[in-house]
Amino acid sequence: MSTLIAPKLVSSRDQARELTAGLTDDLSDAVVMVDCSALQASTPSFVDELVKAVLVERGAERLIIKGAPERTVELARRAAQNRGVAARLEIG
Amino acid sequence: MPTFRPTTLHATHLDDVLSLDVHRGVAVIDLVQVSFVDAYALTGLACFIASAAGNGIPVQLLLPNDADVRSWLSRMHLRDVLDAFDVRVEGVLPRVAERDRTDTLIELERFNDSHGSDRLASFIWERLKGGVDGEVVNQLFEATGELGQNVVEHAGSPVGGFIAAQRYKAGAPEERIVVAVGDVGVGIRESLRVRYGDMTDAESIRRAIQWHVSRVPDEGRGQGLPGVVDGVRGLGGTVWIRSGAACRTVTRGQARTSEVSRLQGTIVGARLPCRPGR
Repeated sequence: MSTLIAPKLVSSRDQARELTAGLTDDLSDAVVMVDCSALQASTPSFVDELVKAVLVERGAERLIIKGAPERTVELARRAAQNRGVAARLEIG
Repeated sequence: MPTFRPTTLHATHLDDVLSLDVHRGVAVIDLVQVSFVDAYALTGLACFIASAAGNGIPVQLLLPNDADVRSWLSRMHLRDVLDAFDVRVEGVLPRVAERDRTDTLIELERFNDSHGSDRLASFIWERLKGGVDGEVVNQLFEATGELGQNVVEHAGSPVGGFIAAQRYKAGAPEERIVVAVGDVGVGIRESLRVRYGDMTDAESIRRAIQWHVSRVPDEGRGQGLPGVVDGVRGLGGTVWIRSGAACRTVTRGQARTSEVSRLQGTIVGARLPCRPGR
């Protein structure tokens, strides 16, 4: 399992791309966990780009969002729903 | 007929102080009678200056008679924009001692990329958290981040974007905050035209605040501006979206579009109560 650490505040799509830049291109058998315990606020665009980068572009088996604020969880569910990958999103 | 000169300058009166002197070929900002300028109007002035300068039109600024307003303009760092775009100033913009007002002001700032936009969104969060309702701070963070991202990604603004914010009536029941982000790019109509065809500025704004409408054909796009509008309206605030020759004002109870003087680019502003529901 790959673990990414989300910083305290995240807003742009570029930040999501930077956060996921170290992941391999094919994650089809892999689980990615984003540790959001330090995260305090996020934008819809950041969260959408994170979901896109991990579940859509790299095809991860699962994306686990751990310890995120309620609003970020809501945004993650919405992004995964929009992109048709809700079944592979897990809230931890 | 005498020209109307507003004494308070905010989103709906911005045009009244802007003009083009065709005989001299000069863009004029006349603040002489103004006794109040809000953060939206300040951002609009910066966009007007950048737009005129970018089109090779010299800009002349007539400063307010009111010394407090001159000091406020200075404190909000308007001088940086005046210097950057070589504006001719009539009157003296004073140097002011900058006592710490980080909990109430985000001075006029320019940003050119997503790092700049990220930094300013974080500024908003850090400066307001604790002093303002948590939901409002969160909404302002999201709004600043999304609007800044729109400038960087979609506006094609040659000078980047501008942002300013101010918290008013601190401690009073009517305490509120105004934040604005502006650019001198292609505007919403042109941004959407390639994908959605020709439309008026008013139509383009109405379309841009609908979910999943975006210049970029990607199913996750088109959440920024509608999210800002829904979020601010849900907290009892007001949003102004001005692009081209139209301005749409959205509140919880109503939305209306008005014709305005054509300005290059887009200015989006929000006014939020700091403690909604109290």
